[in-house]
Amino acid sequence: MRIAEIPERLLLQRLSSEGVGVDFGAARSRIRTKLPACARLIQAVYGGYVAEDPSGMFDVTVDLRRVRGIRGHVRPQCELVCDGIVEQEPFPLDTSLPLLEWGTNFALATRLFCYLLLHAGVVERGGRAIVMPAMPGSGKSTLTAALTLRGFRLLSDEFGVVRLQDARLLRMLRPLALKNESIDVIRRFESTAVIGPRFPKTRKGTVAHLAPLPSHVDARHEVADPALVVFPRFEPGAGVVLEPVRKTRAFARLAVNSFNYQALGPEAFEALAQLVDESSCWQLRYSDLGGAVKALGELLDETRPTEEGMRAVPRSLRVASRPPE
Amino acid sequence: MNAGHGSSLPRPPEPVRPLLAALSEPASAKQYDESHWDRLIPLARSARLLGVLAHRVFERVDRSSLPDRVQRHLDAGLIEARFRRQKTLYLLHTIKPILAAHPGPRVLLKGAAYIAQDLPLAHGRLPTDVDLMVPRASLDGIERSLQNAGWEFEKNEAYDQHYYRAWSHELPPMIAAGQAMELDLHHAILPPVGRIRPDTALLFAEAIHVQGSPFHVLTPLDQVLHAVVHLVHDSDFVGRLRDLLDIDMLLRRLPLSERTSRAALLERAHRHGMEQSLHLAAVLCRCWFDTPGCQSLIAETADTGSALYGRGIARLAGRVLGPASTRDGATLTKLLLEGRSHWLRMPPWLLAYHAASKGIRNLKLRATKRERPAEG
Amino acid sequence: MATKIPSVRVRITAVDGLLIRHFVDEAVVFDPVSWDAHLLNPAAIAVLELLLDAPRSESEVIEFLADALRVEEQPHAAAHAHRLIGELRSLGLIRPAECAATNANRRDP
Repeated sequence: MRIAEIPERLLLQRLSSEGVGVDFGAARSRIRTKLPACARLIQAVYGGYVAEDPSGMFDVTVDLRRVRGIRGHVRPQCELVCDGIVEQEPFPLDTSLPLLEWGTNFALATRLFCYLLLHAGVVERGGRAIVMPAMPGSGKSTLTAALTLRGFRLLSDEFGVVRLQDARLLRMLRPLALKNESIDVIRRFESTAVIGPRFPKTRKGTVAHLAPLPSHVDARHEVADPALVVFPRFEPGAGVVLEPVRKTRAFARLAVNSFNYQALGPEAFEALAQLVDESSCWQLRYSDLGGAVKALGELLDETRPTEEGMRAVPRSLRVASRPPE
Repeated sequence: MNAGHGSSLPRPPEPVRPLLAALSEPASAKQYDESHWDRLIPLARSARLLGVLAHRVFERVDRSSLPDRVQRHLDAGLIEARFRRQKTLYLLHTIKPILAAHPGPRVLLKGAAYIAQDLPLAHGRLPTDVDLMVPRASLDGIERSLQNAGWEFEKNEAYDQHYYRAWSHELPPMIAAGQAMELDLHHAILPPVGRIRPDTALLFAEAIHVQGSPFHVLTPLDQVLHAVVHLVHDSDFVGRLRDLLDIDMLLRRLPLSERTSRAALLERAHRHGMEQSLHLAAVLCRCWFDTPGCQSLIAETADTGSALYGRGIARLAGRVLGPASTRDGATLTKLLLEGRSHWLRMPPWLLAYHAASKGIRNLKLRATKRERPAEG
Repeated sequence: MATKIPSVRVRITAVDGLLIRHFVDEAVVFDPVSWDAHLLNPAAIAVLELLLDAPRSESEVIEFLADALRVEEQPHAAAHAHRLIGELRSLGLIRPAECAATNANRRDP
């Protein structure tokens, strides 16, 4: 049964006791909370997820609870506890969903040394993945969101999960965090997108969460092949410009933009090298979101491997559209 | 605390027992169901013992008989331990030429020593820093050479620097670009103004050279005693289960079960003035790990101090040794033990001065925090 | 028991355990001692692989590079080689080829 189908009261009851399990693909989380507002938010944004049996084994268990003590009455706050530890500063009680999201990301990033975790948005089409490393100002989340609303399936907007043995991309399907202007951009881009409530004044500005499509959730155990590495940069007035990036540079930038590359040593080196080897690497400067989505789709098709296993080499510089008025 | 044994030794709290059982009987992991692993893995991780658990389980249990998810988490523990080991070896590799000009010996302590010696104890372990003890006379020169090579002090506040240099047995931690581990330089293993005065000259004189390296390590007996005072005398026990396990493994290595080893250990403890600490550690090891030979050691050190006090401390320590999720409050216990640990480390007049300054500094910090704009 | 080797014929070798992955004409190399990864251009790769193959003296490296350079660059072969060797050494990827007994020091603490 999907979380959206569980009656609200029953959902809260389950969250308050044994918890509710969600499967992101590469990892599973058990969520527990007694906060009714949080339960409603979970239902909104995790609606498409199947409620997993909470009695099994989970990769992380997160407890969202009210902060106790005097503080709790003067300025109500909530905290996230994992393995008995409160990892972060508490959030105001009415921002429990951002806390759940960031706290869960942190819990996963610091525990899953079994995978190479890149800091990237990843989508796929036809089993071929586009890895978009997250630099500040990249607009990575906006671009990832837009792609998932135009026929690409989401693997993750935060974690590029690389399997060490064979450099395949795994899914870590989580609600997609949109910040500030990009909330409206996506709303305009696709009016049917399911976006949760806005949370103003978080430490990252205003944040809202795009719920993953149920069909994407259903695909959470599917594996994708690396095909494109694209370094996006949102640049007003750029239109859409794609430039090739040298593979050694791409390797370095991916390694630097990762959660745990440093700690994994030779296996991470080999897996990342394999990923880069199989991918065509590009820098994307864009101001036209729709144009960027289209260009990436074309690029993905053009770099389809030929029979000999050689990659078709696209034109070296592409300007796909003029900037919008 | 309830007394499970015939003696009135306190038992470990119930929430931590699954971890102790898995560590002492890793072969039984074959039979664990998923909900047991679901409880055990976070427990081990929060006790910083996931890698150690993984090492023991994989030694006894065929990997393919474990669920994939379990294998992944155990692997994660080993990967993290391997990373720390790698960074320790790299730090030692880097400082070798820097230390070369200064008279030794250069004695590795604790985790760095276990790694250099490749002891079974080191497998799956997570060292936090590299501890190196050098003769007092060489310390200043080494400090300068390290600074010239790009090493810096982590703590820069004048008071902390002063405290470390004047009263402590170690310099503030040092860090360098490209180094993931910190370097802690010692000239002794305990503060010179503390209540226990180890025979530092003896530690150096009998230190053992590590083949193929410019480093030494303490003798097996001194390693035990250092681990003992590090936990019992120099800490407040909170979340220190890992340190107690180190002691258990060092004792087994002697082995403690042999009467001659025990006699030698007692003699050494007497030499360093550490019998009471050893007794307390033995009580804890008996309760938590049932280390072979502990029962006898407890009896043989029974006259070293008030048995009641020893059991009292052991009882308190037992309540906080485990990871956070097993401690359930115990705030008063923690305060008592923290007070004790300061009391042990410094003479009363210095303790008052230190506490007063720290108190004032904390007030200052809290004031500045309030001034920051409300977040979120 | 070290034999004194005349300095002009000091041989250099690549360190043990390097992992090299090629991308067309460039490569990334992993140093198992520091766990650092380095990006190498074609000239650096060529020199490194030459030294992986067997220890060489600096004059042999110069000769090798000179063959690979264009005619107008050849007078600069010595300078190029010297610079490359210096860089590879400072990255910790190559070292003097001593006798076997001392090679073990690289890995031990």
